[in-house]
Amino acid sequence: MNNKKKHRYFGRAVSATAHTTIIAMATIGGVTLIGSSVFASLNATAFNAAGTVATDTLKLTQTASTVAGITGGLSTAISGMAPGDVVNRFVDLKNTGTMDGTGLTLQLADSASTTLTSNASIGLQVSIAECSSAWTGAGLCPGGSTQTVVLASTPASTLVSTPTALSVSSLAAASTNRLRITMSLPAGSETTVNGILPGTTVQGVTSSLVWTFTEAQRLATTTSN
Amino acid sequence: MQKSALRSTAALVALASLAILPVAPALAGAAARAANSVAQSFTTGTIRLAPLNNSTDPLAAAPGTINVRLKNDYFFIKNFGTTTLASFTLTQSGTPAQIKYCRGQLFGSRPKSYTHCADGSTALSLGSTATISSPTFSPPLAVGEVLNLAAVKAAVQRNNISVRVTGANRPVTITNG
Repeated sequence: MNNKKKHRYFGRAVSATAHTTIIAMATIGGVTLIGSSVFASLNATAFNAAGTVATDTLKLTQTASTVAGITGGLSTAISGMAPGDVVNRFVDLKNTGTMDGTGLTLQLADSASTTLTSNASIGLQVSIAECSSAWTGAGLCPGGSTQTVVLASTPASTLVSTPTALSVSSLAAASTNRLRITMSLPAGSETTVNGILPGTTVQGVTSSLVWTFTEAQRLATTTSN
Repeated sequence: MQKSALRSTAALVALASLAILPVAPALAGAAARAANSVAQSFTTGTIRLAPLNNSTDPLAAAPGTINVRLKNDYFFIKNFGTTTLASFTLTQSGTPAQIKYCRGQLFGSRPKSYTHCADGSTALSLGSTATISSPTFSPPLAVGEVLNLAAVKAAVQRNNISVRVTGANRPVTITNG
């Protein structure tokens, strides 16, 4: 006697195994339906009010002084300089950005690479001073203003090989540094005997100089609020 | 490759990576540069003073050390450089002669003179030592200017005369521009 219980679906008898399979599939289908429909309807989203993120700028410009008599800057040629001579040029270095700067340096490049910029003892020497107000047309820092040393006398060869730190009064945003750049050739460094120049000389040479001032951004900050 | 060697290599690579990592943040951040828009042409001049036998000789004909042989003899020095000269140093070998000069004119020729200039004025003395530092000329010796000198001696003898200049012999020149 076959005593196994038969189940009927849509009028047809099915085995117990088939019955179990049908129940399992129905359960899985039900769970799937619940997961996709019922839970989706409970999602929630939170938005912030539109916020802006703005960045500052870091800009540096170098322009010749506009004071009459000292407008040569660093682009106007210098000619005929000889040992013992001193030439002053005046530039305004401005931080025209909105971010404070730091770590100002100066580097010199000479595409001609002559003894002027390769020989530390007889070559070009550079020093820089700053005046708290505009330099006069005679190249002087006016009375009541403060004159400070930005760079002590340094061989141009050093400025060519390594960016050299400068000490200016401020690199804050919108600040201006009024600089006097003094170029000189040591007076007693070369002796000309009977019209014959020394074997190694700065006389009768031509260089092509690019003066590059560089500042870094102020120290990065972390703000929590 | 053995396992131990592989482990060592892996450790080295890891260490190198760690060493590089801290550098990266330090290089980050903005920098601003300002350079002159046109490269600055920088040309130097020359300082050249040479003795000559003849006032019109070019530099190429300058004999270097000049040789005065007579008891009294003339010679010249000329500024062949590109800059003015305020002074110079003269050296002479042998028994030093008395060195005199006339500026802007020759020594007197009628009668021939080693002590007076062409206009009759007394020639100026540079000195009579082996090494003579000239006075400071005012105005300085212009580019191309020739100075007429005479070596005046007590007897016939040979003197080798040299001149030399440095930047210190130039007028102090400070240019603001």
